Order: sequence, then structure tokens, then C-alpha cells
Amino acid sequence: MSRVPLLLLAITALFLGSPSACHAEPQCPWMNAATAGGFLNGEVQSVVSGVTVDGDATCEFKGSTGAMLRIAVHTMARTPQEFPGYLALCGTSAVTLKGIGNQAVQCIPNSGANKGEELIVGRVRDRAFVITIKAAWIAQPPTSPTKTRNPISDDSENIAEQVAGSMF
Amino acid sequence: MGPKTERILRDLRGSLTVRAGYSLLVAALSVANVIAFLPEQKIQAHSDANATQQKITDQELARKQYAEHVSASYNFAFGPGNISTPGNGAVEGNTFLQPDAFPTADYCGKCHKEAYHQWRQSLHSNSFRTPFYRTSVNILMRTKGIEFARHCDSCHNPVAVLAGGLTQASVVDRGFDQDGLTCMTCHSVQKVQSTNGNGGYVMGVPAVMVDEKGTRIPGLVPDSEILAHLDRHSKAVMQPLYRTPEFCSACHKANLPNPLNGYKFIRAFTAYDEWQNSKFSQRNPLTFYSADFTSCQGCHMKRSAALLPDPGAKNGQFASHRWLAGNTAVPFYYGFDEQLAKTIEFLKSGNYLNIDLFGIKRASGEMIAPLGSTAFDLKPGETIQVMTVIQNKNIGHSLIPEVRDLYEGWVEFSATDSTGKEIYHSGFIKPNGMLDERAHSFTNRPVNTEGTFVDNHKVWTIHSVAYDNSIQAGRSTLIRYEFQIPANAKGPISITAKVNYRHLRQSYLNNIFGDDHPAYPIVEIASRTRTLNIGDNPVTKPEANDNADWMRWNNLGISYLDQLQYSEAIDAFAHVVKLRPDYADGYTNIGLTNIEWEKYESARGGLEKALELAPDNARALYYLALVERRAGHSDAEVADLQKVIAQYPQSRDARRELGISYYQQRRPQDAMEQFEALQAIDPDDLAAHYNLALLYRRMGMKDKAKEQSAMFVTKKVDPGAPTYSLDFLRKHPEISIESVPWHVHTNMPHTENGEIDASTPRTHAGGSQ
Repeated sequence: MSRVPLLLLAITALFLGSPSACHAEPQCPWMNAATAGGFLNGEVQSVVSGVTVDGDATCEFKGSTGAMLRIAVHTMARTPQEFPGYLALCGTSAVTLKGIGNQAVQCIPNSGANKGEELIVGRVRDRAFVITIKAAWIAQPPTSPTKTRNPISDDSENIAEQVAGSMF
Repeated sequence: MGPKTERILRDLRGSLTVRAGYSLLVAALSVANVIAFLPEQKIQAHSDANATQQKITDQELARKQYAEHVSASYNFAFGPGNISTPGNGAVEGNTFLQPDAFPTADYCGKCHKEAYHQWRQSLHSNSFRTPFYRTSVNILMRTKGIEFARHCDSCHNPVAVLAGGLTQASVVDRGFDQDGLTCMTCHSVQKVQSTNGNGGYVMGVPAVMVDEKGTRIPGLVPDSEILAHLDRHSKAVMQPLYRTPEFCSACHKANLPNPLNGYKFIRAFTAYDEWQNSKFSQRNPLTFYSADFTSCQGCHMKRSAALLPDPGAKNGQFASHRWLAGNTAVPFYYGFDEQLAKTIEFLKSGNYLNIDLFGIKRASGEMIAPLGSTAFDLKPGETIQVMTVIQNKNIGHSLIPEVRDLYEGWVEFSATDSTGKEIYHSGFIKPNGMLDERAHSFTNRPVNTEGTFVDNHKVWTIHSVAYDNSIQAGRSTLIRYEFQIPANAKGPISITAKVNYRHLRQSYLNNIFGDDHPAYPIVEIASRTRTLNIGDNPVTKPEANDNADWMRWNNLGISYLDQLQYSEAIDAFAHVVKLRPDYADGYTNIGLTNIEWEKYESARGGLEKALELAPDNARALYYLALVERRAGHSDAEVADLQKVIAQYPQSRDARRELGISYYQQRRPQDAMEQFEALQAIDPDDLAAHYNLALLYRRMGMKDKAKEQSAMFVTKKVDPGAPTYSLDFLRKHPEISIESVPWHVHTNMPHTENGEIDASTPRTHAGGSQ
């Protein structure tokens, strides 16, 4: 047997066996891990799931101390009918936010599945986003002198801006 | 001498001896003290230098590690080590800079409370995060790739560009995005590369202090240290450059370079050049009017009382960090009511525009003008054309400047009868929020290779501009509104022209938010109303803001000149010199129009008359030089231009023409000097590129010749590009007439033979003919 086919086989095997870009983790379209890590005060593990052809997905960033940031984006077929359902996640405790997407609200539910977590729910055109934050600072009032519009923590507002901004 | 006197003298001597001894002791101790402390002071200075050097070394090391980390995954699509192309942003050290090297706005805001408060609501702090910007730049990132966004973000988010954040799989924490142009971006710029724009700054490593030798100390320092050395803080963060228009040119001038569009250099906007060509720069001898020198900062950073504590205030006055201009959208979106109110106030202040309902043209061609100064009569059923002149009177740049494909400035013209019923209305807002497409709008229409409007500010697809109806600084435009007075009209008719402004165009707002967004503010910048009686119209008194009649004629002449109506322009300027025989510029304007009309010898009389009234008038000399050139009087031509340059060394026109004159006189060295000087004023001047390419080649400077030649080729207009404009105009008959300088807005129906059927007028808009 000639050595040439063997060589080709070996090279092919090398390529097949090497860790290639094909195996790269999908990236979150609305925030990179470094930025999420900045908010969660440390390195984060990220998982992107539920990616659809419309580009919808859910990104989850987890910090080593239990902090968590989840960004879920969904395209709505009938915005006027569907979006109230998203807003209902905050219900009557919703705080209306200015300058985040088309519209947005924030709340920290004291019961239910998201008890103790911060929710920021909003939309950009026909796409809804639900941001869930679990971190020590979520209930903090704004401290920065730059805060002139929303009564939520500096980082929460910044996260919401990052997400909505990427969706425009 | 008595004993009393002797005693007094003895006491005095004793006292003097003691005092002298005491003084000597003090002097000796002082010297000893100085000597004793000298080595200590040297140690202190040495220690400061060491501390500074240590901080610099630490910063450099941290930066090196950071840059290596970022470089490992950075997309160097535009060449190795090239971090900002297609933008021009540059940084000292020429590699990535950590975002946290920039002290945050919060840090500055602890002391500079007034600056902070204003900045937070300003366009600069919101330069990146707004939906109005993100919508466009996101399209660029999604369609071409995030690396191309370095073009836009070199100005909109310099920290992101210089930190290496604009790459696929970015490893940069973008928590700084919300601060856009933060304090320490502007206050770290060390110089501007040229006046080419696109982020033409050179960023230094941010420093809030210099040491006693003036060396910049990177990083934060304790507040106490700043308070102890305010002068050193000031030296670190303030430079004379920041007060110059050239500083603003770094970003308020932009082009679309080949690496962005894969096509060729296209000039995008030129607010800096427009200012330089305006009367406010005092650098251009060719302006129609004159004014005191006013920089960009003079209008957009006016001093006013500081309401919050700020050490930067002088005598309680603080240079505005709101940068008030036309953008109402950002404060409206974020709910910055204070900024919104001040922006509206700014737009309405300053006597920026003059609206002149100048005259009425009857169907017979007879012109009644100027209205108010001329008695006339009107008949029911008559078709009239209202000649409306809008003067860009006191804006230091064009109306509308910069991104005029997104901004919406237009004329709303209406005619109503005595009962308030509309006879004619142009420039109205439709129920869906869209502007009447036939409105006279100070806009442009960039088009792509499909001949379609470049929507969403996708500037990288622009290949041509179908038309541009902006009004340059100091110039005027004539807009003609034609309508029929109702046959049964009895009472007076009221005609009103307004200039309205909306930030942004409704269709773009719809693209950003969908159709269900709230209505964005429309600001009436200026307005003028006149009443027309059916029957006799006597002479009336002018209103406070009306121009004098000679200036009204002058503005009409300027409008005609820009609309290529030379005969009418000369007639208008003739009225000017009749009313103001002492006004040299009136005669120059006649000369200038004749030159544009290529009647060079006819131009001479007006120009010589102007120089008779105002010897050494640079404007008249400039135009006379062109006449001398045509007449073959080369020495006179050069002499005139030299006189112009002696008065206006930064006149790009005079430099260009003198360069050409020298070239024709075969004085290559002199010609080169002029073209090089021209290039220093305007790096994009085509004549400079072309002629320098020739001159350098002749002088054996092949590399420089090649460089100039390449720049000429890429910067000159693609001769095939107007085809795309024609395509667009063919597809859009409703607005195609806007590309014709002398178009008429009318509600009269169009007929086959071009004659108007006056029997069936329409109220709304109709079309332009």
C-alpha cells in the first residue's frame, strides 16, 4: 500500500480529531460574558439555549457566588395581545422605566417563582425581553449621580439598556 | 544738644542695634533654614518623579497585558495592529487601552456637579446608548460585521474602540457603554491628527493630574491630592486645543472611506468646513455678510450661571456641557425635561433664521416686491406665487447640518381666508405623523446602487446623492408657493411660512420603534405671517425681526444666484445698490453673478466699483483676480490674490486660485506652497490633490506624487454615480422636482401642455412643478 493514502488518512484524522471552531459555544446576542461578569462581580459561566430561526434565545450567566443573570428574548406574532402577558410577570408591583426599549417595567417579586429576584420586562418593537437578575445589589437604590430617570439600581438599569440597545 | 535729646538718641541707637542684631539673626536662620531644607526638597522632587514613573510603568505593564489578552481574539480585519479603521481614532502607544484607564464620569462628578448634571442629559453622554444610534449601527454590525462599526464608534464610543471591544467574541466588559463620550474621553485628547474627522483625535492615556514637572500621571488619585494641586489637575485635563473648532472637527466631520463601503471615499458631512466657510470663522473672505468671530463652543457651550457646585465655574459662570443644538429626540426619549426645554429654547433663540415673505408674482410675470414696502392690489380668482426667502442668517453651519438624511427641517406654508379656511397648505403633518412628501424640506436624498433611498442611515451603501436642499451658512433660498385666490374671496387672506424641525424623520422613528411610538416634538424655529387684502394693500410697517429692504433684495439675489437664475440675481442686486449705493458688496455680488454666468468682462465694472468704495476689499479682489485671469492679466491676477491671502491666510479659495495662478506662471515651488497650505486647511481639496500630484512628479518626488494621485482618484466624484440619482428621481415623481433649483410648489393641477388649469385648485399640497 502506498504511503500517500495513509498520509492523507492521517491528516484527515488529525483534522477530525482536533477541537475546531465548529464546537464553539453560541454567544449571547445581547451581552457578552465579560460584561455580564462585570455586573455579577466575577467570572461567569454562560449558556445560550432555545435559539430560534427568528434569533430568539435565552442566555444565562452564572457567577461563582450564586449570582445569576438571565436574558430571554421572544418574538411576538401579535404584540398588542401578547405583550400584556409579559408585563403581568411584574403585575401591580411594576415600576415603569424610562428610556429602556419601547417600554419596560421592573419589579422584585416577593412571591412566586421569581421571589427575591429582579425582573425587568420590556419590548423592542415586536420582541419581548425578560431579564432576571439574582444578585446582592438588586434592591439597592441608585447611587450614581448620573441617575436621573429610573429608581432602580445602577447596574440593573445598565443591564436593561445593554439588552434593549442590542435589540434595536 | 540737651540731656533729654542725648537720652533719646542713646535709646534710639540702642534700639537700632537690637533691631539690626535681630534682623541679622532672622536672616541667618532663614538662610540656614533654606539650606537645611534644600536636600529635602530635592529628595521630594526626586520622589515625585519616581512615583510618577512608577505609575507610568505600572500602567504600561497593565496595558501591555491587557492588549495581549485582547489581541489574541481581536479581528484585525484592516491590517495588523490597526485597531480603529474604518474610523480614525488613535491613541498614544498605539495599542489597546483598558477601559478602566478612563476615570468614570461618577468620579469626576463628585466635584464637578454642574458639569456632571448637564453632561448626563447631553448628546455626548448619550452618544452610544440611544435607540436612534443603535438602530443604525446594529444594522451595520449584523450585515457587515462588528469590526466595521469602528467607523461610527470612533466618535460614538471611543472607549469601546480603543479598548478593543468591537470584535467578534469580544472579551471586553462593556459596562461603560452607557456613558458614551464620558468626561475623560474629551479631556484626554492630546491632539487632533488633521481636520479629516471620523474620530481624528489622538487620545492620551487618561490622567487627572500632572506631577510638578508636568508629566501626566495615569490613573486615579485621591481627591485630597487634586484639591491640594488644582493647578496640576487643570493641566492634566484642560488644554487650549479644547477651545478650538479644530477640536470639534475630530468628530463633527465625517467621510465614508473605502474600507467601510468597499467603494470609494465619499464625504459624509462637514460641519467644521461649513463653519470655516461661514462669516463666524473670519477665515473666508467670500461670505456675503460679516460677523464677530464665534467658534463652535461660542454657540454650543455658552457660559451661564452654575446652579450646582463646580470648581470649573469662573465667577459663577460655567461653560455649558449640554452642547445644546437640535436634538430633541434624546431628551424626549429619556425624559430629560430640562434638556428638552433648553434645546427648544435654543432652537427658537438666536435669530438663526429669517423668513421673508418677499414678494408676489402674478400669473402675468409681474412681481410685487418687497411686500410691506410696496402698495398693490389683489383680485379674487387670481393665481399668485408667493416668493418666500429663507435666510440662514446666524447659524455657523448649514441648515440642516450633518445627518440630514435623518433629521427633518422643512417649510410649512399656509394660506387661509378670513374665516380661517385653508386655501393652500404645504408642509403639513399627515395623520400618520409623516411629513407631506411635497414639502420644501432642507434635506438630502442619499441613494444606493439600486437607485433607492438609503434608509436607516446605512451610509456604507451610499453611492450618490439625488439632491441636497440644505442652506449653507449665510446663504438664502427662494421657495415659490403658488395658489389661486378663491373667486368668491372677500376678506383678507393670511399667508404664513414657518420653518419647523423634527428630530428625527418620522419614517426613521417608525423603523426604530414601530408605528406605535409617541409623537416626537416638532419645534417651530421661525415664522412670518402677512395679510393680503382683496383689493388695495397699502405699505405696512416692518416687524422687529424683518431685514431692511436692501438686505431683503440681497437675500433674493443670493437665492437666485444659487438657483442659477443669473439675470434675476443681477436684477435683485441692482436693487441693493440702488438702496445702498455705499454698499461695496452689492457691486461685488453683481460681479460675482456675472462670473458665474461666464460674463467676465461684464463682471469687471461691478468689482472695480466695489474696490473704489472699499479699496483692498478681499472679496472684490478675489473675484477681480478671476476676471484678470480670464483677460490674460496674469500679474494682476497674482497680485490681487496675494492681497487676499495677506488678509485671509486661511482662505481655501484664495490659496487654491493662487496655486493655480502660480502653476500657470510656471512657478512650481510657489504653486506647491499654496496647495500644501490649502491642504493644511482642507485635507480633501481635490484641486490640491490633483495639482500636487503633478507638481511632485515634476519635482521628482515620486512617492508623494503617487500618494496625492491616489487621494485624488478616490476622492473625486465617481462619474457614473449620478446614474443612481437619476434612477431614484425617476422612481419618485412626487419629489423629483426638488432636485430642480427653481421649482414651484403649487396646488394647481398639472396639465399636459404645461399650462395650469386654474379652475380646479386643490387645498392640500398638490405637487411641485
